[in-house]
Amino acid sequence: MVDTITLIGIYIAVFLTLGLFTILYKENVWFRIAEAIYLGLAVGYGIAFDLKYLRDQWNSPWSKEPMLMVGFALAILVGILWYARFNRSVFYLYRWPLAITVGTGIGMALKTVIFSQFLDQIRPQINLNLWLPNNPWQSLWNILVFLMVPSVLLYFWFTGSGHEWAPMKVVDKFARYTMMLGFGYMFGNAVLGRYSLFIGRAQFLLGITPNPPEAQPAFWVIAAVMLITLIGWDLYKRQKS
Amino acid sequence: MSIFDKLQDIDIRIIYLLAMISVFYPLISPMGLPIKIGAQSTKWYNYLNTIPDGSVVLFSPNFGASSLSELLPMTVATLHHLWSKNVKVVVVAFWADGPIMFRTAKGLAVPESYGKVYGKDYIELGFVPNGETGMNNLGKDVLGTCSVDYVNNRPTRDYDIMKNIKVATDFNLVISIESGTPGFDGWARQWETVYKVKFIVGCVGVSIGGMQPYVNSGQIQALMPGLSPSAEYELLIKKPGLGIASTDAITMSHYLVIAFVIIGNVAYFLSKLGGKKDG
Repeated sequence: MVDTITLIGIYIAVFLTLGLFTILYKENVWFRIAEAIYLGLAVGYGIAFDLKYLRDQWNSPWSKEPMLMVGFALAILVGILWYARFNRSVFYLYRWPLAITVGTGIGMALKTVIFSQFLDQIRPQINLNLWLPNNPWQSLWNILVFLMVPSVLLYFWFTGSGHEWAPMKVVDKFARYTMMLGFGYMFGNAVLGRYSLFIGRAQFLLGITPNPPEAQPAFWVIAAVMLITLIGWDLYKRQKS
Repeated sequence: MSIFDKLQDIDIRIIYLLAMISVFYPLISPMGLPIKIGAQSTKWYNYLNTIPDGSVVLFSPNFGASSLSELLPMTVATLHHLWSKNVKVVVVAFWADGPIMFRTAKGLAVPESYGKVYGKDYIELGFVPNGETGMNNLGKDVLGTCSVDYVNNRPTRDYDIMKNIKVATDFNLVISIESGTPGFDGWARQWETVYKVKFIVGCVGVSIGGMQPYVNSGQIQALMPGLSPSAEYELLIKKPGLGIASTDAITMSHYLVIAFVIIGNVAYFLSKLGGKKDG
């Protein structure tokens, strides 16, 4: 048996889960409440964690030397400028932290992107073994990859008038089918991935181990209340009109 | 309106209802459908099995409550596997929810039950903000980036486990369980390319398309995508959990999607055929 606080927590979790799922029926007040609580909590939690990190940093290296303290103060000052976007008269100041953040991020990523996302990707493409005597299935797969990757790259090559050349029309068609296969694969994974998320919540609602068994009665009670209010409200509105 | 036209215009709420039934029914009354061990879970299992004793693993839970359902089973199973080995585990998250997600997983795979001691065998360093910039900083200076630990708020350098961990090259492996950015591309750019630290990734099913090229190129050593491979992995390590409990529901829901695809396509082509005949 769980204590009262935990039980309240379980009921709140069930309420939020079902509240968010009610959007599948239609836009309603339960969904709005759950959405607002969820977003508020997520943002508040994120801000609290950021502030904690800031405090921990100050307690450790940054408060040790005067120069570091000045650097820390400057960083906070630049950080505060993010809020300048909420005031039209000082809006331009908001560009400073934006420029620093975007510049640092891009600079840091670009430094290695040529290796990790370009050269390291081209290398295995070049080294593809097109014929594996003991594995015809993998050979077929490798041949397809060997043809598909360059065809899609050529599809997006817009310089000159190469696409009007007859053989290029075949390449374009092959590239289109390749992309459709790719998009279909990704879409299929997205749909089935959403099912996985739903299965997890269903396990919670049904109180399947290791989820708390108290979730199941909470589920039936709250689901009944929500269903009755949603359908009742619909019927009431229909009668009124 | 013919029956084929109606089949293409089913009320979305009926589809949701059928989807709910396909998930709830097998969970309430399990059917015990067989689980076939696949290549991805086997590769993940074998890779973790080959980590030498004394290795230092960076475990990074980079996901939030919204993807907990899909990623918790693999997180718990991987932790069971890690705790059963003689390795040191450093936990750092680049998502604010990461430390809480790890806490949830740790409650289901308790390190102390494997004789692991906090601060000696594993440590939680909490959340590092700023995404990829944070990853870069951590690689350069672990103690400076995470100056205090998450559990006791004590200076990180005071813990036994951190005595020889200063920079990225002190880690033998990164395990990133993630549902978006920052994630695998940051690890590839800031750790794998720069320090040659190997990493493996557990992800939500929707991310497979973006990650597979990194697996093919050998940048990601092993990939655990979604719930089904998690169930297989639970079988491999003999720790049945939420993944295996989900298997029937996964299968039934996939069958339902396949049925919808077939019905939709058949109805589309038949209604087109009927239209031509009428014309």
